[in-house]
Amino acid sequence: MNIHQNIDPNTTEAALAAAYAARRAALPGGVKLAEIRDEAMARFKTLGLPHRRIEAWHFTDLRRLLAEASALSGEAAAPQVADTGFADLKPARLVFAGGAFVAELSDIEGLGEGVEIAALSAGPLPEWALAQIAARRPAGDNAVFDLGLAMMSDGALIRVAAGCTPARPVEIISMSSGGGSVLRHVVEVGDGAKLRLAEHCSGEGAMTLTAMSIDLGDGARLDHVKVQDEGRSTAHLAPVVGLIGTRAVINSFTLTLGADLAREERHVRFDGDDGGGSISGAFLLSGKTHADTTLFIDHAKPGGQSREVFKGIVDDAARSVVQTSVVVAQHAQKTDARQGIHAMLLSDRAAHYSKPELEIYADDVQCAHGATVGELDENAMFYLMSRGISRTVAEAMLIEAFVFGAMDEIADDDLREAISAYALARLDQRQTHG
Amino acid sequence: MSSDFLNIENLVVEVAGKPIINGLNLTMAPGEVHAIMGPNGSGKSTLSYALAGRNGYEVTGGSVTFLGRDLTQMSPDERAAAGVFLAFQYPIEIPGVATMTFLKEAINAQRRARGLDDLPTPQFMRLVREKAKALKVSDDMLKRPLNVGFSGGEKKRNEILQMALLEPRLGVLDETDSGLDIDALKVVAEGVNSLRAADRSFLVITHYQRLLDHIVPDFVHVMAGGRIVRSGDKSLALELEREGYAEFETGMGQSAA
Ligand SMILES: Nc1ncnc2c1ncn2[C@@H]1O[C@H](COP(=O)(O)OP(=O)(O)OP(=O)(O)O)[C@@H](O)[C@H]1O
Ligand SMILES: [Mg+2]
Repeated sequence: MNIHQNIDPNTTEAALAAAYAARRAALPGGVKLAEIRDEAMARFKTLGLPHRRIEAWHFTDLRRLLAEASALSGEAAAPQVADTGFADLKPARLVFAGGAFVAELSDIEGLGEGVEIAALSAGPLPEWALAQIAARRPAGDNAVFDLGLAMMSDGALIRVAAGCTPARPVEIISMSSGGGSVLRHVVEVGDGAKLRLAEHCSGEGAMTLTAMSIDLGDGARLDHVKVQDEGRSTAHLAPVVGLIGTRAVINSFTLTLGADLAREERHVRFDGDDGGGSISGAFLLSGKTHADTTLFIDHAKPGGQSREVFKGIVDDAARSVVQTSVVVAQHAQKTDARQGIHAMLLSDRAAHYSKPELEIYADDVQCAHGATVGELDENAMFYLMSRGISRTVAEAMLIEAFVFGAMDEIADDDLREAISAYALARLDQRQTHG
Repeated sequence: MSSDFLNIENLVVEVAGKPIINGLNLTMAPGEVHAIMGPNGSGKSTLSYALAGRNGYEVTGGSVTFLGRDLTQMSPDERAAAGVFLAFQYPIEIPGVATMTFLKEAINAQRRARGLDDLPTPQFMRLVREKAKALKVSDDMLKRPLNVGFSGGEKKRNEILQMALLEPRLGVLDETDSGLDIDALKVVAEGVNSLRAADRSFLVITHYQRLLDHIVPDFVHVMAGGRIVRSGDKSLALELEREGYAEFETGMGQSAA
């Protein structure tokens, strides 16, 4: 990343605050939401952009990295839906371009009984969505989340009533352009209900801020996958807050490919007994990408089971950061949390930082964490090449073998296949471009 | 004496800046089986790696000519395509790479290098099944990731399976007999013998005469201190079995100085 010592670190913050002031009147939602926005912007102004002296941002000094970003200004380009890799699943679609819902490209009909799906900008905000927006936020200060809260111009509202399952998976496509976009998705899966949700982010906007809150009722299940494949020039910020009920399951997997600056945040609270799931991901980084994934997993109740597994490759001058913080509360006995962070460096200039953390206040738990950083195994390379396999193909085989271990975290077969195919296509490109 | 097939002259190979092969000469003609015996650490595996082109095994002197080409200038995959096959003393486990995917990739990579089309999948499957059966490599092994969890003997049989599929011109077998039970030794030896052909040669590295009862060599060489210190016919192996390497240990000390 470039270092801009001479730039006033507050320029971006001032620009963002000014952008808010200019747009405020036109932003969707009623009076109540406007109040929420104002409060959030006030908090953002007080906090400013996070910087490296804030522990959770130690490796990703957003204030410095965004110093130059022409955040949220610029012309939006005409939307064009790229191949997101989920077409075979015949999903319902919500398409957003430059931060606005595009009805013509979307398809949200025929999802069956008990499924409410709409764009945030489409009309008066439903009570349930407003309540969730008002209540859900990460623990502690979170300037990025507040910025999203203040400036969200649109987003997906998805609600599955108790006991229901949509007839098709739901896909959210966000295409960022021009100055970028600020979206807020609101997801509620009722007691015993199920949802399969795929997210695809692409485009070249200066800054994409996509926040999401997820409520899972008792016994609910969410299978969520996200592909972040934004353009090089983009800064991608994606805080997600999940509240997981009793015996509910969340499987959330993120494939990080693009954006020069990316920060995925997952704040997941297992708020009922025996909740579980996997908050995991894979990353294929090159160029000068700086990709940060930071998890805050809160096992608040007994019997929870979670896995936090990340695997990826870091090439060229790219940097990856994976921080997984798991807290097991005093009463959360029998919690089983497994963290694994594994990176493979493919270039001398590549770097990776892992920070797995466990804070355990209960005494009867099973928790483990492991982190490794390696390189391509030269012995394995020689073995493959000694059979006639070229260096590039051998590399691709070993990288695939390494990264695809993470795909096992995707429990849903269709979603796993789609994500695997997407990642494989990217690796093939890497191979052909050398 | 030189040959168009394999000619190693005054070869010097350094590992980590230290010469391990010190002026080795060896000539092989097509169709021949040469055995190399010698004490631990004498450089046998180093020679095999130098032939296969392993990184870090730096040829700092001499030459290796194989079928008229300078082997030392070729990458490992080019050498494989040219017909060199190394059966590893310690085959590598590669988690996440399926054995069948690997075999297919290897066969087709070599076919492509020779200007041939990829083998159609049904034909490939038939070929692997047939060769695997002869070498008693089970379907279960073929379904597993490459060498992962294979026993020592299973790994060695998998090496010979690969050799049978890739049909090299020169097979270098580095202690393929170690770790094999008596039956497996016979299976492997039969596998090698069935590959013997007028245009194919083998360099068989072993510590035991026993293997050479099954794979009968045309020549036996003794390696010590990074060079070949004595050559003879198959009776030399019997002599070594009786006398050991004591005669050469002193010589090794001198030559390695
Ligand atoms: N990577 C290395 N770094 C330093 N020394 C090495 C390396 N590889 C091999 N050597 C040394 O080179 C010498 C020859 O080793 P090599 O493995 O070729 O012997 P060998 O004849 O195959 O022995 P064995 O019969 O035990 O298999 C040994 O002294 C060994 O320690
Ligand atoms: Mg050896």
